[in-house]
Amino acid sequence: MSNLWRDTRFALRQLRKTPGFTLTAVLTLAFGIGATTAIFSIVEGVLLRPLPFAQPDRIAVLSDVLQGAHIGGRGEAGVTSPEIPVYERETRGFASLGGYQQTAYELSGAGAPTQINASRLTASVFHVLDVPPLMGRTFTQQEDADRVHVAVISYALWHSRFDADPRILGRKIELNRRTYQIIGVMPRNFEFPLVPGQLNRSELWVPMGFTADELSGAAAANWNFGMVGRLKPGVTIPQAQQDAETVARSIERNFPPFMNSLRIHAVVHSLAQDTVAQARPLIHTLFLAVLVVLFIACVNLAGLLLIRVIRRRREAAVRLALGASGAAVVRQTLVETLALSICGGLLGLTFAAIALRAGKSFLPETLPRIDSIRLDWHVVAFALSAAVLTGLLCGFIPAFAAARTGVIETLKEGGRTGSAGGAHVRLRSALVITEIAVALVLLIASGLLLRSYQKLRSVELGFRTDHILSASYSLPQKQYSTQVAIDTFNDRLLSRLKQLPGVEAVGITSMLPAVGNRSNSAFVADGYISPRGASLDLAWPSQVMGGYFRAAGIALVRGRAFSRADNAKAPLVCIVNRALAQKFWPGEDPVGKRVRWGMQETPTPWMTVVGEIGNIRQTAPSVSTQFQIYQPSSQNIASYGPLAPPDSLNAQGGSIVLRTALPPDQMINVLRATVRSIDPQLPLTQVQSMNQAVSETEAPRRFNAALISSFAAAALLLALLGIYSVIAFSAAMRTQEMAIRLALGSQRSAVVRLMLASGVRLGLVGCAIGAVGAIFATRLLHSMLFQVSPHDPAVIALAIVFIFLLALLASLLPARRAASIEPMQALHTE
Amino acid sequence: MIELRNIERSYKNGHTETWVLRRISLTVQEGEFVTIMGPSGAGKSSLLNILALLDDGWAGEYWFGETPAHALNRKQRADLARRRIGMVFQSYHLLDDLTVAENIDLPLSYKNMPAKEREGMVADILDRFQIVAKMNLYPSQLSGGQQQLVGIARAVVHAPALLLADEPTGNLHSAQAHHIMDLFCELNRQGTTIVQVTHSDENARYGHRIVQLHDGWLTRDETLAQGTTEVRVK
Repeated sequence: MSNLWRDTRFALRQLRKTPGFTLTAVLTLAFGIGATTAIFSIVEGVLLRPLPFAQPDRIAVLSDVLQGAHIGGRGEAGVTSPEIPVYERETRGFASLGGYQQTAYELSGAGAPTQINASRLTASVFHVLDVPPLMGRTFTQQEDADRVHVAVISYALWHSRFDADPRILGRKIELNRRTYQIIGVMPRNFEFPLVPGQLNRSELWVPMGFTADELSGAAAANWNFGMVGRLKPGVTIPQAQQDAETVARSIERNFPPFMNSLRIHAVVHSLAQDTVAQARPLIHTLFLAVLVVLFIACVNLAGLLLIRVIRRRREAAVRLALGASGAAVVRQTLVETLALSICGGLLGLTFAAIALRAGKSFLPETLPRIDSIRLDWHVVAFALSAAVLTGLLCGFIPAFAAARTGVIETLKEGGRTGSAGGAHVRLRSALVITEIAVALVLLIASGLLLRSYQKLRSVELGFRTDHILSASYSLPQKQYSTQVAIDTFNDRLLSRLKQLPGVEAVGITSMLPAVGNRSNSAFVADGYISPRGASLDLAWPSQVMGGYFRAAGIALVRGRAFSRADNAKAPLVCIVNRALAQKFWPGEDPVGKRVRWGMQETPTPWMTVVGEIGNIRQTAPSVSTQFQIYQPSSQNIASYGPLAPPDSLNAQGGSIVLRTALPPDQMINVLRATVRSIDPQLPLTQVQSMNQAVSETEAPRRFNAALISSFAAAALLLALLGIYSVIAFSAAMRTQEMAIRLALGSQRSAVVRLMLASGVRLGLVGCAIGAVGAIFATRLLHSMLFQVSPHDPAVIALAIVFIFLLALLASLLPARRAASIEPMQALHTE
Repeated sequence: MIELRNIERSYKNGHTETWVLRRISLTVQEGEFVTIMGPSGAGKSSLLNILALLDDGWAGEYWFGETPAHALNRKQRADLARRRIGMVFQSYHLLDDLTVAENIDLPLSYKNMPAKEREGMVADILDRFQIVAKMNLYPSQLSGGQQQLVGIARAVVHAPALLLADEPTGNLHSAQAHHIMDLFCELNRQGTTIVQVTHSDENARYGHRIVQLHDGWLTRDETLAQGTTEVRVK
């Protein structure tokens, strides 16, 4: 123990004596460990930490997969409202099972009216999650069945809207202008549904209270709900799935006649898996990338330590000559490295804390459980373990090199440079080659992601995003309970906006394009006979009002746009996109053809195609164009014929699209004032320019590209420092050789070439190994790339040339210094 | 105390083998002060390294008292050296970042001795060498002679039976050299067996016996006794 204490004291004294080295080593490690810890906190918060529910591994989600419907992702559509009571009643594998639906409400009666995200839950969902409320209670089965207006609010809402009022229970609020009573407040870490990002999180939960419409046959074709259940003890997920599949068969047998040909399968998987499935590849890639940076930092530090060992080999030799065992020398060297790495770890932890505090808001909206990301004791333990581990890893090679110091030669040389350094330089070169290789892999990965991003930016969206201001609204049902009231609001809104100075065109759409909205409706094209066994034909439905096409800059290829004459009473019309026209009526003019919603046996009315537009990126710039059907908002209900619920109304909300000659930002206040002039209480949400809205969908890719590129840049910098130091050190070791060469008449340029050749050799070998490594490593990126192959030759070649040139550049400085020595002076010194 | 029989040492360089010591047989009695002399390249330092058990690549027999050093493995030889041998270097080889006291403590620290006992031994030697006032100084704050004094203190702190010195005064001026050689004589009088390598005839005269090496061969073994010299030519 006393030896360890003495070694530690000596190590700290050594480190104090060489502040330059100590600072470089500690900062290198702090950077590596800090970045790794920050990313690990994401891994821990999102992937590893159990969900904030009791026995979270027993909670599972249940969903339908529609046979033949290619809806993207894993093909899971959710469930329909009529299915929820059936699954709840008839499945045997769940101790409790409930349905939910995300929605939004206009919240008033608590500060200024605002739109908030909420969820409708059947009462059993709270039993499934088994999280007691912080205050009050959750709602009962009876309240759900009786559609009682009670609400449970989130901890965040309680604080932001109600100043954490301890007498909140029993307070009345208005949701969509209906009075609800607050009966409970959930704890701070409660979050359900566990949706990606921070913007769509539910802040309030109300009883599902199914309406008659929602339980009618017409609702059987809307997969807009989710289900979550707690498995019975001993029941596994495959068993629960088998059980649910049996129920699905019975549901299928009771489908209304218009859904005869539809086939569904029930799938059950763990809620934890479901929550993080989408984010997993991103997190894995980030963690891998940051580990590469840490690895390079370690290699660099090992290199620095090796140089230190070479410089201090007289000390090792004296120790060995005075009776130190090899183990004692290894221990002494390792203690010094551990002192460095623990300092680096603590500083890295501070860096990570700062990075998380500053960077959390930049995390992409595709990431779930962002609130769980924090520096808890798991993360601190990880950072300190990483510090000790990197200390040991970095220290082992130099420590063994020190223990193997040749005592006799070293003491004879008196510690001067000599042949013993040669083997160490070779070892150091091997380390630098490794650094170059892994830096190249990261650089190629970064190049591929940047190229993807560049391709994404150059995608033709099919509409113009410039000079557009968009904003969303939803008309509360209580006040706008009739079609007349809704139409009056919409007409007034459109006409007032049109009259505003600077406004060139204005329209309203049920779904903004290229901002992440996903929706699919089955349809039938007149005269088109699907091949046997073909999948369902799905289209992206969009209802529009006013001059939407003009406002969005969508050009008509054929036919006409909608007019005021295309109202609820007029013949049903629609506009389709080119992809749909070409698939179903190839080589023909689609104008005059007909389509209708549903499947062959669905008794929906035909809509006549009156126009054709080009292909619009409906969901996001990276998602390829699918079939699109646009219809006038006023004809939406009519187009579903008998499938439309009896009390449903058209155009209850949407997104305003305002094309303006002025910068969109300047129109925000005018737009808000105009809406307020019609309905002072109605909140507008997502008020932003179209450029901003589209750019937000690219944020995850931008985030990936930016983070991996910064890791690559760091790796590159560290690798360059490595090359520089190895060439500089080998130049210093060869001072005498260079002096002799110069004294014997060598040109200085020849000396430069000689030293550069060392850099070139390291660069070439490192690049060759890195290029082979990249071919395997970049496969991991496949899901994150857009229109770029993981083996894109241009990116790989450019990265190799770039890193090779930088290696050359890093060698140039020490090479020039080596060539500038004065031979007589150098030989005299030796 | 030491008996060398037919010690040979060579270095291989490609296909050629260079001999640095040839069939060296030498006996050193307990309490002797032996000087090894010879021109550069004669094999003096090589012989000293073998005696110090720092070198493993030799052939022949090396008896340290009753212990056959030639039959020991590397670890056992290191252990024997740690217990019985002290080493003084021409370049002092003090560790720059340790104080005088810490430098002296170094060989003790590799012996698993209790810290208290070590402290006592270091204090004794500092006192004996009259360098107590310098115990907290660093080597760079000492003169060459003072540094070598510390080097010798370090070599004898664990009371070795054999003290080996490689050109101990090679870097010192004559006054300092006399002081160091007097110290060696004093240590020898107190019972320490000493083997030194030197080029200096004057330093050699401080000892009892001179062993002359030439091209790796032991060419003379001369005993100095109160003005008389017994010369044996091999």
